[in-house]
Amino acid sequence: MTHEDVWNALPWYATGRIPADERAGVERHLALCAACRREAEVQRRLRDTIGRIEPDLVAARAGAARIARRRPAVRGLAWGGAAIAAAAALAVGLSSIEPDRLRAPAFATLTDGAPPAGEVRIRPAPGADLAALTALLDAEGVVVRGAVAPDAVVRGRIPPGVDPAALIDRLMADPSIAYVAGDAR
Amino acid sequence: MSLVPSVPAQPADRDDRLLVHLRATAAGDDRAFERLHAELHPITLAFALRMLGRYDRAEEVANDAMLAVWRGAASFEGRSKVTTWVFGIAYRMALRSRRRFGFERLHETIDALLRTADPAAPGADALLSAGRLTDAIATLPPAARALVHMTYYYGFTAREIGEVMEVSENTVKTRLAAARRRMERALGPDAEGRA
Repeated sequence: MTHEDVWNALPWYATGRIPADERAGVERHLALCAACRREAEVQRRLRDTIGRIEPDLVAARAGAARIARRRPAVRGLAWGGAAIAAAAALAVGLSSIEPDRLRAPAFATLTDGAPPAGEVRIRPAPGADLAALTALLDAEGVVVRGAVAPDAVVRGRIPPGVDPAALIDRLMADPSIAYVAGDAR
Repeated sequence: MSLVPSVPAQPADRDDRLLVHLRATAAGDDRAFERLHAELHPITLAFALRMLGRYDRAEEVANDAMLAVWRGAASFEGRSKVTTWVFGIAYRMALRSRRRFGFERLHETIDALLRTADPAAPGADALLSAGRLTDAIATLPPAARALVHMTYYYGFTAREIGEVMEVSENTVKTRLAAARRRMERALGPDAEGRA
């Protein structure tokens, strides 16, 4: 193994998640290279420190709730073509590490891109009363495509003349709904 | 105390168990999916949170990932561990979510909230504190954050990370090397106790 090979492998030497033959190569090099010995110590500390960093979900949840209060329709997601193009350009510009490819799933999800104008995507809350949810959508005049199922995203057509943002706000206020995504322009 | 389950080491029996549940889910056993969901949803949520820094986005990703697991159970071919397969799904969804919301100014990131590690904990290093390190990780793009956490926190091998990110083991190593250099610059001189 070259010096660079060893330097690149040191994180996994520190975590112990390294194949035996690679470990032997690293150890042979460490015996001769003071720089890699220092780096191995840095990697050990990185492992110890990052292993202790725990996101506090309760605090994060409280943060999300504060956002929702500041901007009521925050979960009614708004899209604009220019903003998406700008975001994509920014993401490409800033990220030196990008996936080789992104695969879109063959079914509707909340994260697979903007719903077309006039459509909302709804995820039922866990354990939601689906009959009540169906009744709510009926009352709002939302025409559902397909079935309302507990673990699927429901697609619905926003009735003509209805303000999408207001509709999303009303739907989001209902406890049987976890998320609503739609074009709120 | 944290509600996020830690999986620094992947117990072998965990993957065996997940595989049994996944096979049963593919065969139409909804109870098996419930067990799979109970185990995997918190883990994918925490992973997405580490990538995206926002609870609401991370929750969307975790929910969608579980939906993809349910729908895709039959297509799992066993070429990787169930854990890396699911991380791969969550990873790609988190990147898509990032692309969609990358321009959004409104953010209350949990990056600040991540600084919950006790600085006075035994073995804590004043020169490489959890807070400063969290700041350094926050300067990385989401894909690199995922790489850092999969390596040091989740304890994945380079090969497993390659499966998640769909790149070669060598690419994983060179990308982490780049992320290490970037974190080092963010931490500043002497931050890693070299002086």
